[in-house]
Amino acid sequence: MPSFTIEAADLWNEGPVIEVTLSPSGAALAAMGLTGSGPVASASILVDTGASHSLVKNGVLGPLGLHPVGATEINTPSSQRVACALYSVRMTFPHGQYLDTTVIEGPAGGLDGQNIEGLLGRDVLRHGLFIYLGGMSQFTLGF
Amino acid sequence: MAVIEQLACELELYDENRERLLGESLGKYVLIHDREMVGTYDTEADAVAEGYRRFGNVPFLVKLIAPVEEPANFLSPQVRF
Repeated sequence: MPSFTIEAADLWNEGPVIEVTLSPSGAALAAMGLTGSGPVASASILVDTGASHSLVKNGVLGPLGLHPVGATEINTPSSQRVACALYSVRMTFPHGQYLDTTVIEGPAGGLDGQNIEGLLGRDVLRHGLFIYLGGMSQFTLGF
Repeated sequence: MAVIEQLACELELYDENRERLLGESLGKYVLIHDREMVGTYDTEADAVAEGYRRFGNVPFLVKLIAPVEEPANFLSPQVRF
C-alpha cells in the first residue's frame, strides 16, 4: 500500500496534520464537462480518529463550484443534530494517491481560530493505514 | 441553513416515502432529485454517480435508508459550532 510519513515539529500540540488537495470527484468532473483535475482547493486536514466522517470548514469547497449531494446531521461536544450538506469530492494526498468520497461541509464558524481547515475521519481511514509514532514525532498514512 | 434548503424538496419526498423505502430497500441508498425518486443503489458512490450522470452538477439527494438516522459524531473539542 503506497504511504507517506510526516515528521512534525510539534506533533503533540498540533496533531497529525496533512495538506490535501480537494477537487470535484470523477463523477462530478464528468458532469461538469471538465477534464484534468478541474478546480482545486488546498486544505490543512487533521487526521482525527474521533470523527466518524470527514468534514471541511465552511467555505473551503466554494472554489470547486459543487452542489450538495446529500444531507446529514452532526453531533459535537457542544452541539447536537446540526444539519449539514455533503459534497462529492476527490481528496488527493501528499503522495499522489486520491480517493473519491463525500465530505461534510461544517456550519459557518466551525473550526474558526484553529490551525486546520478540516478533519479526516474514519470514513476515509477505513480504506487505509494510519500509524502514530508519538515517541518519534511522526506519523504514517497510507491508501 | 441556506445550503440545506437546496435539498428541502428532496428531503420532504424522502420523509413521505420513508416507511415504504424501509420495507423495500433497507440498507440501500436512495437517489432523489426534485420530486423524482430515481431509484435505490447498493453504495453511496453508485447513487452519486447516477445522480451526476442523469442530472449534471445540480443539487440532488443521496440518502441511506435506515430505521434510525445516526448523526455523524465528532468527539474532538476542536469542533465547535
